[in-house]
Amino acid sequence: MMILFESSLNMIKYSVYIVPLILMIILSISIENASKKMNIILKSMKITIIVIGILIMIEESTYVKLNGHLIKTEIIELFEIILLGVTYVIITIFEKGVKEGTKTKITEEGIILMYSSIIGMLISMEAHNLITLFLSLEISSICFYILALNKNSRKVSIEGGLKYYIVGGIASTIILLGIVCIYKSTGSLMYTDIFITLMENGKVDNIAQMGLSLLVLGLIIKLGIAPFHGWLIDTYEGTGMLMTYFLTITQKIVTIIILINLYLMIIAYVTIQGLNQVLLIGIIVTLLVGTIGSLRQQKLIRFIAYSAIVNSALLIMFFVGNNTEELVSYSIYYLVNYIIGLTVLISIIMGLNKNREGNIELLGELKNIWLNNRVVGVCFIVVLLYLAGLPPFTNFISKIILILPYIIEGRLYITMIILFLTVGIMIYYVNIVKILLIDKKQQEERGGVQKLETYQMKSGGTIIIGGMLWIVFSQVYLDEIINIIKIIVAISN
Amino acid sequence: MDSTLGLLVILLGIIMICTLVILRSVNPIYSILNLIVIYGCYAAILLTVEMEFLACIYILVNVGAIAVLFLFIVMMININIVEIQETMRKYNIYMIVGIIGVIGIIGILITNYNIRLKEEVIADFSMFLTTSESNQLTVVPTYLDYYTLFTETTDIRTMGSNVIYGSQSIWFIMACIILLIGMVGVIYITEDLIIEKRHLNERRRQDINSQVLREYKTTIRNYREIQ
Repeated sequence: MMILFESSLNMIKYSVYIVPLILMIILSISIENASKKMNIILKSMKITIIVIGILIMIEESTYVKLNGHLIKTEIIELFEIILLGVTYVIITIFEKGVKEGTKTKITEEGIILMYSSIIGMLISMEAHNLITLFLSLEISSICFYILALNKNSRKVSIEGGLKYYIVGGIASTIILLGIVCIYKSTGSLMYTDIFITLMENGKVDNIAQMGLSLLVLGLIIKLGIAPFHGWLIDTYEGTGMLMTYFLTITQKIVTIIILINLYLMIIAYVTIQGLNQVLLIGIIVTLLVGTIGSLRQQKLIRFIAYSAIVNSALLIMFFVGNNTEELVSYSIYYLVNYIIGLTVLISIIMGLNKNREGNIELLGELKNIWLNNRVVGVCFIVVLLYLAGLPPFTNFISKIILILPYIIEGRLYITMIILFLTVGIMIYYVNIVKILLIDKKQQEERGGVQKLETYQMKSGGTIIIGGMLWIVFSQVYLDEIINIIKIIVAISN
Repeated sequence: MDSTLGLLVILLGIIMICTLVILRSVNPIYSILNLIVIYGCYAAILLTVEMEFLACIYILVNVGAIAVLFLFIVMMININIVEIQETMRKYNIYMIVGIIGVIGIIGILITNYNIRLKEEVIADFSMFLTTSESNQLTVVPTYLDYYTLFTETTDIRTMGSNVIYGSQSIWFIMACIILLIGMVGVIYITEDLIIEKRHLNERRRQDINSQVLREYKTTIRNYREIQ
């Protein structure tokens, strides 16, 4: 019965992707009143996100569709729902900003671009064909190049956008070269066909190995692993805080699900020694660069960019290990924790108004939080320690279960180096706590501090409360959450 | 096979040189001419893999539309034309490169489509030759093979029925979305610039009459008198 209606269901699904895009463009042209227009477009974006989420939940999983172009498994469904939830949160923050004033500057074209990037990301998650993967990655990355241009700070943002454009273009050409290499050696573009031909040949030839490693390399450049990390920080400095949040999290979700798909379908059965070593070196160098580089930063946004780099290095740890499914499920758990922590951090920063238009930019300005608003200060410190991975919080467990399996494989030195470097990561998170608590006290002793009324929470209360509840209650149901993710990974493989 | 490989190497070499020149040149006209040469080389490469339709489209779109658009923009940008006229001789190099490209395309056409130069020439001159090889040339009767007529398809038909509108239709849709993003993105980037200009012009409002009456010679003369 399902097979009969499969094509019509697909039709409905793709019209759900494309029809709202057309509608939004028509709305942005036709409505004259500016505030009304923004309101209607934001609402329609929210509704489309909800509808797409419902369709993804309804759809039968574990089957290949559209002539083998797309595949649907349980992990992909989980990731799609995470992505849609994150975008829903971002849209709500944007809506609040639009209602209050010009704090979060976005135009209707920006929202259309965000929506079309989400289309690209959803297709690239489900992609089962390499050309489909490439095209959908191009859709999302072209949108990102344009969204990286923030108009509030012109010079820096133009520089960052250009850097992003050039590096992203190079990365996508590298991915295309990898696809060509794979096609030359195996003669197919589908994941399953590539896997079957590689297994039938018995020995993987050099061109196929080069193709696979080039694919992984291109995806890693988009994540910003250490030798290719310079562009990422400049780009994020130029874009606003909210757009940085959007770019980091969506880029991470998409790239990691693509890597997981590649890993579970092809690369787990093909041992490429050189790629593994290069990736290990890359991870260690990234952790070093992230810890050393972020120590002397003055701007908050650069700090967040460095933490994004470090977290992406920890997230691709599953690629190097030997026990496949376990590490994949642990890295998914780590990703969920990281997303929740960053969401709470960003919503605290966006909620605090320094004055009418701007929000906190420098690390030194964080001092004022503690005196003016104790509750928010406690939340901020808890979230920072949670992201750092201090033992009472669950992020500690999610970090240590990612790192410890390497001891079982007998890679003691590497495990020890990574553990030392995680201590280094802890240092710069705790450094901000020090700025928050101790620097303020010293200033208080030197001279009186006036209580500023402007540092008060305006918005984002529900998100912060939800995040704090997750931080507390995920400790109680730790095993259950990890087991659910493990079951999802095991079903879909 | 070897001949096409050699041609590929030559064409890729020309492309490399032209890209280097584009990167180093200050004058935009140089870079446009180089771009046209590069597009020609790409079309020739597409001809070697027997994609005539794509090659035609490539030249039509890129040289016919985009390069002309570039030239149009260069005309609008203020460049000292006299200087360009003096240094027009430098462009002769590109004529040579273009001729090489044309020769390459003709070579590909000859090698690919088996324009029967060789055999006919040998057949015509075989009566004059007395070697044993010429006697071995046998006449093969050529019938109309209906099977090939049924099976053979053109480039456009395979692309249309199998790739774009057939099983691979999702690629086509995604390419369309990329085009749409390009259009929306241009609006998004340039919107702010337009608004800023309007803000500037609020004080000194636009006077169309004076703008129309403004002439190149008079404005320059005034400037010189001031100095």
